[in-house]
This record gives sequence, structure tokens and C-alpha cells, in this order.
Amino acid sequence: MKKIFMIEDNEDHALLIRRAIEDTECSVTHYQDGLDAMKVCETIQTQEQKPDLILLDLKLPGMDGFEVLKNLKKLKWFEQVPIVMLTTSCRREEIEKAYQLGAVGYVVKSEDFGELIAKLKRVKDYWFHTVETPFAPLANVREK
Amino acid sequence: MGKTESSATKQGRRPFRFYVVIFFVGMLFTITLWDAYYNGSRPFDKDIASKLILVMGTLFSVAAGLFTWSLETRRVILEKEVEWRTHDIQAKNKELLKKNEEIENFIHIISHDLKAPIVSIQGFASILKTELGNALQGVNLDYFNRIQANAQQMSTLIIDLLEFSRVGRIEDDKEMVDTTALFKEITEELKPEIDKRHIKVQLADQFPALWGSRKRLSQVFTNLIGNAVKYMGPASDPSIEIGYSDKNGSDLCTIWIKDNGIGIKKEFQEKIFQIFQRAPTQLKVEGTGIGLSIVKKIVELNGGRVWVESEEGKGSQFFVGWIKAQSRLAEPKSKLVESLSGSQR
Repeated sequence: MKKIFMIEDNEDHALLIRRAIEDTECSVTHYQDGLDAMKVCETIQTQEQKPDLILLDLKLPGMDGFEVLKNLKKLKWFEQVPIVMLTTSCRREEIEKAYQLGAVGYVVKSEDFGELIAKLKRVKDYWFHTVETPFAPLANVREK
Repeated sequence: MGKTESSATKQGRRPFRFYVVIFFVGMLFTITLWDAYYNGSRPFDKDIASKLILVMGTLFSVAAGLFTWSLETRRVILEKEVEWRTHDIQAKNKELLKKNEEIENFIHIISHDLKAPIVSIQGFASILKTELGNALQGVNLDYFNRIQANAQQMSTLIIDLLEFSRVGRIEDDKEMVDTTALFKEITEELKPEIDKRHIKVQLADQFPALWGSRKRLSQVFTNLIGNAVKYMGPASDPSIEIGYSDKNGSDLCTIWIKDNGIGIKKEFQEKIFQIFQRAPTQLKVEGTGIGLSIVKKIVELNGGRVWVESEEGKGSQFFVGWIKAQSRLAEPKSKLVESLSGSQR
């Protein structure tokens, strides 16, 4: 069973994403904000406890997505954990910044729910190595 | 001897020029003395003459010194003033840039916050629709579709508003744009809609290259051609014609898009370019009323002009006057930069 951590302040979005990504092979743990997630992540001692994928919203109350990303990357065991950013509007500068800080991809929360499912499935398939097709992270940066 | 310059009268419209009088009196005195000594008559004895030379020499030196000093002070004052003003302008520029950035951020936040609920609405609506399946029927299905269509409309509105505010506030890179290829691309992109309505599209073989941002030009023509398609109406032989007229010697090339759609009443022909203004029609056409105002803003910011000629029921012809690449590239660089920064007709 793969573990996914989702850090998302908007409850509705969290519900939608959970529905889109959760299945029998993975479980999703939801954190409302970055501080909550950091507290839990800091207590992780063994490699087995660490999540296999983190979905991180860019806009979070208190500590924003970039800061959470920076802090997560500093933690033991987390260097290899893929972190995928979630955004509502996609600004190139923000996405570039996220990549610089160590994110491996991003998903724009599209209005089309089917599209959102497809995007998240692609992320999951790639990082859980169930398919061989490379996931090109920058390929779907839309022009602002 | 300019030292009296500073005593210029305050009440007179033109201050009395003392230095002229002093100069002439001085010269008269000098020439008289010079003439007297040259001709051998000695009007003053040695004692007085030597004192006179001392006094005159001192006076002259002081006057010359004061004069130079005043010139220098003035220059320094002027330089300071220029420096202050430059500083002022720079500060204002900085402030403007900051304000611009603030607006950009503000708009970004607003658009983010406005989009978030739409994502939720659409997401849950889509789930509900799948879950309910065939249970959702008749009038209920219609209501449901209306909810979704409205959410969609809101999202388009946000995107369009964002775009409208961006045009002009964010500098575009300009280049030579191959318009022939651009029109092919646009018509290709709109092909599904064009084919659906069986519209015949006629393109001129070759268009002159234009000078501007490719993205903005594409926006302008996509909008105009898209409108021609949208407002085609029940024409029996629907067609869209795209051509241009290029007068020699003019910087602008006029590209026109002609359709035989529903047309626009005379009284709305100006209004349709204003934001949120749409001409009333029997057609149910989706739109935000921002498209043409974006077109107008882009065209005018680039020194061009856009207008329409139309007759209700017979069709419309939209004209866009835009700067040719040829006229830009032929000019020397300095002039090019100058004319690009200022908007000229």
C-alpha cells in the first residue's frame, strides 16, 4: 500500500483530489496546513513510515507552499520523496520557483474533473512505477 | 562689469540692465584716459593716476570674480535642480512599477480565489452527474446543465477580465509576424466550429508581414474570426473572407474580415468595442462582452485602428489597421525604438 500525503487547505479541493487519486493501492492522508504536516513529518523515524508521494498546495495559510517545500526537503528521508505541487492558477514564475526548490511536478486543479483525474493518475503511475512512460514535468506549463 | 546684475528691479516687467550702463561708463572713462595719455596730456598727476589704477584694477578683479562666481553658482544650482527632478522622476517611476506589481499580484490573488470555488463546483457537479446517471432526466437534467454552463461562463469571464487587465500593463516583445501562417493557424484552430456551420473560408494567398507581438496579433484575429463564425446566423451560403489592402507609402496595412452573418445595427457599431457591451441579437451566443474590447485595446496600444462596417442582416466587415513589419525594419534602429515607445497613428 502506497502512502500519499496531501497538504491542501481547501476542504472541497481536498475531497475532490482524494476521490480522484485514492484507490485500493494507495491511501491518502490529508493535512489542512503546512504546520500540521511538518509536525507529523518531523516525527518520522524510519524509511517505512515516510510517504511515497506528497501533493502540496501552493497557497496555504500560515506557511505557504514554497516554505513547506523547503522545510520538507531538509528533513531526513524526505530528500527522495517526490513532491508534486497543486495550483489553481498557473504562473510560470511560481512553477519555476517550485522546481528550483525541489518539486518534481505540478498539477493545475482544472475545472474539468475528468481532466484532473487523468492528470493525477499520470503523476501516480509515473512515481509508483507502474508505467514506463516518462512524465514530462514542464510539458504542460500553460502560457500565462 | 556684471556685479550689479543681481540688483535687477523686482517690480519692472523687464529688469533694468545695469551692467550695460556700467560697461559703457567704464569704457568711456577708460577711452578718455587712454586718449589723454596717448596724446601726451596728463590729466592726473602720478599719485592720483597710480591710486586710480589700483582702485580700478581692484574693482575689475572683484567684478570679474563675482561674475564668474555667480555663473558657477547658477550652474551648480541648475545641476542640483536637474538632479532633484531626475531623482523625483525615478522615484515616481519606481512607485509606478511597484503599483503595477501590486495590481498584478492583486489580480492574481483575485483570480485564484475566484477560480477555486469554480473548481469545486465543477468537480462536484461532474461527480454528481456520473453518480446520478440516468436518474437525472428531463427538466432536472436541464437545470443541472445550466448550473454547469454558468460555472463555465464565470470561469471564462475571469480569464477574459484577467487578459483585459494584462494587455498594455505588461510589455510585449515585438517581432516580425508572418501573418499568412498566422491566419492558416487560426482557421485551422477554429476548423471544428467552421465545419459544423458549413462556412466557406476564403483567405488571400499572401498577407504582408506585420510588426508586433505574435501572441497579441493571434488574439486579435482569433477573436474577430471567431466572432464571424459565432454570429453567422442562418445565412444560406455562409462565408468568411479575409483579405487586406496595403497602400504604398503608408505604415499601416489594413486587414479585413468579412462575413455574411447577422450583421450589427448602426447604433451598436461603436458600442460593441466597449467592455461588457454586446449587441442584442436573436442568436443565443455565448460570450463575455470583453473580447472586442481586448481587440480594440491591443490594436490601439500598437498604434493601429479597428473599426467595423456592417448592415443588419447582410453581414459585417471588420477592419484592422496594423503596422507593417516592412516599415519598421527599413528604419534605422534609433528611430525604431523611438516610434515603438510612442504610440503613433
